[in-house]
Amino acid sequence: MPFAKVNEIDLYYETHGKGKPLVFISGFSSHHLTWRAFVQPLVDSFQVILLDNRGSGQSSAPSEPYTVETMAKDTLALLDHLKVNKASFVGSSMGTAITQTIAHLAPERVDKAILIAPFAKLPMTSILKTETTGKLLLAKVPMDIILETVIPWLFSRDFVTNTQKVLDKKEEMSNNPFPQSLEGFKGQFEALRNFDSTSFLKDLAAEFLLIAGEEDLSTPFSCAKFVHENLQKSHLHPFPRMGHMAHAEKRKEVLDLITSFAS
Amino acid sequence: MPKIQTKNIELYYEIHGSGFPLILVCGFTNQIDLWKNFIPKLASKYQVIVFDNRGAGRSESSPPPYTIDQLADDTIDLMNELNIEKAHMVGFSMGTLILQSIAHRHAEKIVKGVLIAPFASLPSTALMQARSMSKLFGVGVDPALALETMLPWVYSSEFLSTPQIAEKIVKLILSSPYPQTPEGFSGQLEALASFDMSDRLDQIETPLLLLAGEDDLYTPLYEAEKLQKLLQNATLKAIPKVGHMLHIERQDLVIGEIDAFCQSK
Repeated sequence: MPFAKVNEIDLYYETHGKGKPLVFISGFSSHHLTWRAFVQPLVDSFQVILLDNRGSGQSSAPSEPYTVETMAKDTLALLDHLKVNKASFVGSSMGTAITQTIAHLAPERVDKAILIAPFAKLPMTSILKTETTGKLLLAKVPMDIILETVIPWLFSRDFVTNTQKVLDKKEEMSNNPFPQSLEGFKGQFEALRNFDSTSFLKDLAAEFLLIAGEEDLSTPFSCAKFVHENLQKSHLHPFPRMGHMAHAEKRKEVLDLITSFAS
Repeated sequence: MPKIQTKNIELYYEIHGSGFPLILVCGFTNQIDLWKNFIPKLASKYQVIVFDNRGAGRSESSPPPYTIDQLADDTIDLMNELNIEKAHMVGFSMGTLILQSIAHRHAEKIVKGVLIAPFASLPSTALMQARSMSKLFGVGVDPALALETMLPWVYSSEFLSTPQIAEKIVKLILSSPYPQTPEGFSGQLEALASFDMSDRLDQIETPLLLLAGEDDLYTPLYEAEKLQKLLQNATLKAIPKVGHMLHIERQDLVIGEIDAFCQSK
């Protein structure tokens, strides 16, 4: 179980395979297992680096509020630890905020950047939604019901219509081996709600691929369009009838997009 | 406090102003206070009829489940009791389903219809949200918190950016002297969940105006677009930066659209 001591916390990470470094950065409250199915298909051509952001998975969850910049610096410190100078990045949701910030803080370390469900600033609807989820957790509402308030916000209508898929997802989420601590939830939420890349998107020199669901409720398609229009070098790949979780619902397609863009 | 016993159910209604009849039909869980700011502005030109659907406000809650056709028939029975031969109608959300049913099954009763936040069938995402809220009520979660789960689905980011707005909305709903009964909630929810007349929409000839918020997350714009394509006589107006509650977020614009559409030849 490898941990790196970075910025006074223990950061959990894994590396798999050899080749061009490719770092996967998870979204709010999720951890490296989000990407487990992406690892094997990539290990022959990439050095796949997975990590748990501070506040989730097995990484430390200090109780002070976090910023996206802190999480970006954690990731860069991990790369120092691994003696990786330059890498490509795949981020989803909050992970896209971290990736944008890495490209801003350390442009020389970013080869290509792939953003799944990107935004420059989280919409107020999503801020309120996350806040309410926090209250439901605090009120110790049965997890089964909390998941039923979260799943339709994240997954597509086709996914939600499929009873079996919903059951399987609830099962998977209920059996999360590394559930987020309350400190982690609060810390990451502070980071997420205060993130705003509007002022620096235009300065980012890296080449970006944006993957966005046309029916994303959590970070609507207009968010991705805004990021796309403000970046210097950006390709936008829209997924029709897709929500916030393209990487979970269309894994093969997303994997192919990553492979061809990062190679 | 006028209540009327139709042949199936007791309904609460109010009539304001005079002119050609204009009936305002509520959505899921709503009661007539939904229209409180609409009434004074429309009553100068129209005979405005507002009422609580079966299972909400001061109307009777029969045992669940209900159907949209049943709610449509309630509306027609109310018109008959009040000797209103035909009317313009405005529906919000579930009320737009009631209008579709009326325009199909009682076409002679509706002259023109304005559908606010319309859809052909409730998206599975919205249905799961509604059911989860019902479960939250069921396990005794603080009602304010259960209601709060609905807000990001139905109000836009712009609207929700007003400080303390979420607390205010929830407080207002909870302060109602006529809270919805559990039977009314689940009866209406099942009506909402089971309705889909996509295969018959092309038979509707009534002129319809569809008003949709571009940022509606509950019944997204794709639903309004689908409805517009399937109907033969419908105009769609998509309003930017507005959510499902566009009649609250853009009240004057919506009132203006209703009036202009009803006046048009």
